[in-house]
Amino acid sequence: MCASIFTGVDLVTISRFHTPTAQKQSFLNLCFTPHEQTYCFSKADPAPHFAARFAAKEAVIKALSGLDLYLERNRIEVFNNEIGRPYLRFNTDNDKILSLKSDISISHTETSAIAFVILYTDPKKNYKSIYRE
Amino acid sequence: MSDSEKYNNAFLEAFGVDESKLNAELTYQSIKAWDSVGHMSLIAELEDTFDIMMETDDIIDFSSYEKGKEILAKYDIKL
Repeated sequence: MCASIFTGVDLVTISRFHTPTAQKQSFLNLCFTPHEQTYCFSKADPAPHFAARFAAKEAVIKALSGLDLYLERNRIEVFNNEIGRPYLRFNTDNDKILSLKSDISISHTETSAIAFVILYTDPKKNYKSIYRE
Repeated sequence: MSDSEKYNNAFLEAFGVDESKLNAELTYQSIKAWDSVGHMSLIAELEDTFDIMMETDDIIDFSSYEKGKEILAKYDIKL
């Protein structure tokens, strides 16, 4: 059995995260987890890090739309492993979302941040009962 | 300040546009500032302004200046 693969990509202009509205706590809480806020604010310039994470969340939302699923931005969490490679965690009770495997790649220039996400089903499992074909 | 004025101010704060832009033509992605980042800025402004927490479906459905008025009516905000 083959895995089903869903992709998402998003590009964000970093300067959007230098604006006063994007620095308000209510906006940050809507879009980012406390862990992500702590991580980004630990950087000399948090904006590129917020932008990259926002792009990651949008990319996940786009990929999930292929399954008719949705997850709020502040329930999609980006972590970095010990060598700095990003990975995703989904804070939800939705079994369909939790059963998905994921991979993510993030990059940025001085002006833009981009994220590319792949969500895929485990080919060893039978998803026919919970996913549309 | 009336609720209508507060509603308009949320758009002005989130998008930095002139008040003349606040009309039925203003929809998601109709102006540069109303992209995904701007959308969440607007929702945060509205939640702060009216002291509400919008449901996920309403955040997704908030696709225009006029549609937003319908959605806020669900939170007893008459515009």
